[in-house]
Amino acid sequence: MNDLKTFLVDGGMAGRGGGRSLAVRGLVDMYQHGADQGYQALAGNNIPVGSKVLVWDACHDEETGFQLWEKHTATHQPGWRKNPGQVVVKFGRFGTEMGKIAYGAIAALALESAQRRPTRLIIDLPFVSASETLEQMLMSGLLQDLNAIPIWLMGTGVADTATLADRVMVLPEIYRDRGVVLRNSHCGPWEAFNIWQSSGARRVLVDRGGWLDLFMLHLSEWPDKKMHEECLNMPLDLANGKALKDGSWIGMWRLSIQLWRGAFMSRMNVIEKL
Amino acid sequence: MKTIIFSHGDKGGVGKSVVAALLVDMALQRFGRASLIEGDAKTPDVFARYQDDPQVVKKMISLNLAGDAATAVGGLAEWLENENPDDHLVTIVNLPANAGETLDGLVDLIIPVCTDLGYDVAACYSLGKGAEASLSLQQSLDSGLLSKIHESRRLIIIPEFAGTRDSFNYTNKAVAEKFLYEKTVLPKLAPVPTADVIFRSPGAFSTMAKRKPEGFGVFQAHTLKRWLKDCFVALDPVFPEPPALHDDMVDGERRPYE
Repeated sequence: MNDLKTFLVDGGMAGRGGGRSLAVRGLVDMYQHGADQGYQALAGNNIPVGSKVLVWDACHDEETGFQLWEKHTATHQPGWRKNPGQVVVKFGRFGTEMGKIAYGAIAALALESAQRRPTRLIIDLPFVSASETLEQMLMSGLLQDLNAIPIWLMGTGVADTATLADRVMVLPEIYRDRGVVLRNSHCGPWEAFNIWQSSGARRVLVDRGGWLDLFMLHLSEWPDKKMHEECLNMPLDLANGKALKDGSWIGMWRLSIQLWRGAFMSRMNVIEKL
Repeated sequence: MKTIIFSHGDKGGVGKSVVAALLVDMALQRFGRASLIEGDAKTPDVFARYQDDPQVVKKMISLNLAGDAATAVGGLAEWLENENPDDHLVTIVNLPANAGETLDGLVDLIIPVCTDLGYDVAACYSLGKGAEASLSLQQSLDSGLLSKIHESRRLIIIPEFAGTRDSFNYTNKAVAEKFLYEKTVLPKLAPVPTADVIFRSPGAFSTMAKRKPEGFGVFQAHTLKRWLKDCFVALDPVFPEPPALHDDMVDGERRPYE
């Protein structure tokens, strides 16, 4: 068996609102629970059972990044995690010594794990404007070995489309033939992405190539604010459980998260076909 | 024509041995074989790296015999004349730290001997930081080993692991501008754990991906491949071109040494 896919979560504007970290949390959740009973149909029966999920959080350090899954398994009520150890997170900011170490470690882990079980590596990149820098740090040859598929968080500006086109030029082995554009609804409705919609890049990548053009809902303002305050970068199922545990949070917030998870899985499961 | 390349640099820890090891690797890649003179008897790490490589003919000759430089140079000349195989087109000499003290006085002997033996002479000079290192370079260019080597065959190396180009003192010294030489930056190998695995594993760098020493995985393979490519470009100015159709290269692979 050698079942490895690496999702390179790229694009988005710098700072909060770009959508990369939310997309990463959605992807992790989908691969962790998309094969569970009750989610299978939502996820189009596309998610492999028993997937190992690896994350390189290249935007944060251990303090500010994803809270460790295993830690939460240990400290919260048993049963939240059916498969402890299913998710592994490495921290290390992109472009730093620690980042390079994290990338090397997670790549080795992914290649080794893929020999035994379906493995999905998700790379949460910061906003990198220079495609040459991205190539230099991630090394296109290694990305090919990792079977990398780009996921581009699309905004409504000219730079969003232009930077994607630049990626295709600089890293054609990774960006030319397949990938996903995720229109981030934080920037507006589907129709607001008219620059991307009418671009030559879209014609080449989506109309004539193997790219998917999808839409990512963002959490509505109130749950987004609460999430940011209460459980920043917490995995979505844990956030949901936290809401359950704390009676004051139950209700709309939990419903919002649950709806978002379902909507994300329903739309995004097709990436497994890439 | 045969080429002899001295890996020089007065300060310790400036990357002379890494440069020498890379030059040997380049010779193996381009010509299928190489000769190595390890002049650093105290820390013979380049000799140790290629100890088990039959395609590298090597000799340990202590070249920092302070007070007895003539013996050191005599040993070097004798080996070049009598033992270095004629079909080894590239010979690398790894000079020890402070070799200038030993060799600079005899530079009028070393270069003519090498030339008479049919060698094109080149040198790499790995820079250290600080005013002292800058003075050592100036001294070598003025009256030392580098002074007797043609300007197009002497390569000043800024080791990136020690800092950026601007942080090296020599770049601020106008006096250095009066000399002509080739300049290059030797890229840094990072991250540190990857560099540790690669530097502590013996043998040619370029064959590590096939040999897979302990701790050497796919990330290390890609990192090394990229670093080597950049290093070979950096060191290219002093390196001879291989013949257009070299008999020893078959589909880009080295033919076993006979």
